[in-house]
Amino acid sequence: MDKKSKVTGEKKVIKISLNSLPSAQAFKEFVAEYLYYLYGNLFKDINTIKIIIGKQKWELKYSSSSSSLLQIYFYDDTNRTSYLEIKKYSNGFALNTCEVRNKIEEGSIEEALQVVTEVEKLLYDIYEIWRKEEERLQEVFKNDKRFSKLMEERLIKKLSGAK
Amino acid sequence: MEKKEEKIKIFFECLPSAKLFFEIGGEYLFKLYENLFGNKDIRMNIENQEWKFYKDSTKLTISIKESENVNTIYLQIEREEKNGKIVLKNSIIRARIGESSVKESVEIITEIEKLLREVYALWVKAEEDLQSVVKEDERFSKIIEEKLVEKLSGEN
Repeated sequence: MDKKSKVTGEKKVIKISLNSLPSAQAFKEFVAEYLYYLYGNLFKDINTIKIIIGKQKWELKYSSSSSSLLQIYFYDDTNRTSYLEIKKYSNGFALNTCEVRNKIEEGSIEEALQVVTEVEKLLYDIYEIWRKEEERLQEVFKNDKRFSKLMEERLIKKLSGAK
Repeated sequence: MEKKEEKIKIFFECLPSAKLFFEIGGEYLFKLYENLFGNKDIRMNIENQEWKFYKDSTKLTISIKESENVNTIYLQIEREEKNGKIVLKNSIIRARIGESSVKESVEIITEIEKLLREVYALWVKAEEDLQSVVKEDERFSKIIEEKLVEKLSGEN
């Protein structure tokens, strides 16, 4: 929302932080639930993903047990930053203190949605890289004679009913 | 996420089929060693480092002696008791593969294969040299000859 300053006549940008809104808490819970399930749908039962992007190492930790949790950290040369932390409680999900929550709380509605899209994009990007690398590994099993021979032996053994 | 052109590497150990690769890669190297050396243990020096290769029917270990009393496990492959699978266990190599890309992981297996074949070539050459010594050094060749004559004559 733009308004003109009564004193200078210049346009002022007025932004209400999302956290000041009555439904902010519910929004954060929905964000937490959405991102938690997005990870689960993409990576299934893979509990840890480590990836290097440029100079940063990212670590994604996920647990579907009773103490359900999704944590995303990134490491610079010396520091570890908690980018995202989601906790599941008996009555719902919560965004713990982390960079994403701070950005959401301080931003406008539009900015908060952008942050969610940013995390979503990060997960999808990592998923694409992860999926392609897994495909490469499958190709290795098929095409590298050293391994394809052993894979074949395993298959024959399995089909013959041997343990 | 940062710019696309930046280096991106997903750790091998996070892939769904990584466990299978640790089994297949481990089995390949285990059998390769067996084919080359049987169950023979090898000790050698590579650039002042003492390397030890131990092998029995269930385990292959390659360790490096870094200094007095400090041994580092370079490679360990073990047949698991519960299911009989031959698996790459914790070691420098397993850690390196875990943090690599698929391409790099395959290269690491090739690197160990190359090492084993190089050691094998040296081992064969050294064995040939030893055979030559036994044949050509008169001190030994005479004893060998006597033993042979003894054997052929049927004496115990």
